Amino acid sequence: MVHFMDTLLAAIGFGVVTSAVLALSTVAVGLQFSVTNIPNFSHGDIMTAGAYAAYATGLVVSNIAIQAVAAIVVGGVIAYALNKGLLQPFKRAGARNIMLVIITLSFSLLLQNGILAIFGGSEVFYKLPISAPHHYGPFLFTNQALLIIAAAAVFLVGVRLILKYTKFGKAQRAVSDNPELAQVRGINSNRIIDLTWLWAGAMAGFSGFVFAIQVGAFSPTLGFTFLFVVFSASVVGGIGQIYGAMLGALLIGCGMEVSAIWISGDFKQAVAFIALILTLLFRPSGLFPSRIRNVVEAI
Amino acid sequence: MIVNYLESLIILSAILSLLTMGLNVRWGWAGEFDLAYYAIVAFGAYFGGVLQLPHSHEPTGLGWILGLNLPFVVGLLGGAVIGGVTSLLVGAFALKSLRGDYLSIATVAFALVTWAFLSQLPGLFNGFNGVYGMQQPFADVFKNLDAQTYALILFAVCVVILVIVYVFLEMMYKSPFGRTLRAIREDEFASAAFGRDVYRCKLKAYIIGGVVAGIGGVLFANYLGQWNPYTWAPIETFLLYGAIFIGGQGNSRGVIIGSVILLVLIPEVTRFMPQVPGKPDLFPALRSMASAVLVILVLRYRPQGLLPEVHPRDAGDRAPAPTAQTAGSAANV
Repeated sequence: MVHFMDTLLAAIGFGVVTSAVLALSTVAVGLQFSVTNIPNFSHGDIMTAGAYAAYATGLVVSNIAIQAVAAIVVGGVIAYALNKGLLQPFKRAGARNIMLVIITLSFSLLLQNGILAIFGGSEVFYKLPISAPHHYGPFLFTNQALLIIAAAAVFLVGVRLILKYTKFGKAQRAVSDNPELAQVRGINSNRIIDLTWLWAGAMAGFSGFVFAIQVGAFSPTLGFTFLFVVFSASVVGGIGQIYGAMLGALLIGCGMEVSAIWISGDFKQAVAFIALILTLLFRPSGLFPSRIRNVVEAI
Repeated sequence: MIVNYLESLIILSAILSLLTMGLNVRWGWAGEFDLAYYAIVAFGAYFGGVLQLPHSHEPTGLGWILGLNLPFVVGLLGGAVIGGVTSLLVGAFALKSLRGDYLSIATVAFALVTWAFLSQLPGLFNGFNGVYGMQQPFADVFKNLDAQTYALILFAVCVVILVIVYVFLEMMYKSPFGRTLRAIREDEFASAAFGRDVYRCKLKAYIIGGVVAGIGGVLFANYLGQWNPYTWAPIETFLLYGAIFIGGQGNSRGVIIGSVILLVLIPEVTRFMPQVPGKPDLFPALRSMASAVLVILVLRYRPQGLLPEVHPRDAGDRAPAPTAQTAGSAANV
């Protein structure tokens, strides 16, 4: 029994790290979805782009902070370009929402293969100092894992502060609630939507970087499958809620790692996908539904 | 030589068009943005395979179920049935409560779970090794023929199956059921208000698409001689969608043209590109990028596709052909 508790706690420790990465990504998806109402199927590949941007930067300067900035910039720019260059023109032409979803899926294919064309399909990894795991209470964490958790915490607190206290955050909540009404009240909805894409993309790029650190070696398909784990976390947590997104990330992240105690680790992601399917079928508003549907509004 | 090459291209076109036509029933007719389609194709392919193959002689723990050594026709029918049954199971749950983007997310999750399980379970369809050793259709019957003459038979088999499915689907498209589906696609609530059982009709379309997927899967697997997790990926559904968009959503003929262009011609043309030393992934990647760009351009500048969906019977009372913007609108209400 003692032995089992050790295994369980170790798994939860891994789960917390996974959850930290997942939370960053899920909150980014949630922000962008609540303001634009488009599930972005290329979110995972924007993460991959961030990871590779950090990799390419690392070939020149091996500094984790500069690499992180590169990931953030590249992620933000790509998401901004996706919105400006593809989604907005389609929207102006009167495309339905489902067509915009299909565009993000096409863009995902484009981006993933663009990365494949530039960097090739073999796995790459960052040259980071190797750190031995240390005991923290019952948990085992490497320095990198601690860094990931800290970075996620800083980012998530930042998101909350921006949404709650800045004018931009207020405007964003307004647009998320009702774009037309916000426009009438003098908020430039389109600008808010543009900036939201930029912001969500930047967070996606950063989460791709930390995800790549967590998995070690990665290839151009890094983000695409992970995308559906992110979707699981957002759906389980209740689409459109920032705390729900975090809780969903924690549940899915820990659930995946803990499940590996009993079943083969190859099924880890399948566990998340099954959670996604079951939630959509039986509790589509998520485990923590709020009276107010919108993500940012629920703060 | 060139004749053989053309023959092989047409065979491949027929098989892939078959797959796309099945998906077109779901998306082009009923407006269901389903991403589980390739998983259904895989079920059909695996199941058709194990019906035809002899008992597996893999080491303990590995191997495939059944192994009944049945003829190709039985395998084909078995694949069709399993395609229909899995579609019934998936559709009955998914279509009940999910629309539009939520349907797509749930079905893609189903496809990924299916891929994971079919690849990892060693005793079901032989895990990552997959099922292999299927003969090309009727190769056992015509074993005395030389390869060139047999290629003609294979050609005929594929084209005949394609034509049968095409005629069947065209009849269904023109039937009251086909009209109801298009009505549901355009406006789900209005159709319900006129007394149509929306869920039932959508489920039927989903199952018909699945039966075609199963048939296409068996034919594909027999053509390749094997089926394993490396021959299919859930995301390939998207390429079939690309073929539908390019050819013309809802229009079976258009869909065939789209499949030939996107799934056969583009890969064939780019196959003869020179290899860049040290960069084996470059051209496959550029090819996929070109496909994605083509799909985006078509959706932007010719959303109705090369052959728009205009049915003679509809042309009178519904002048504007549905475009990409309206197709699938039901899924978005």
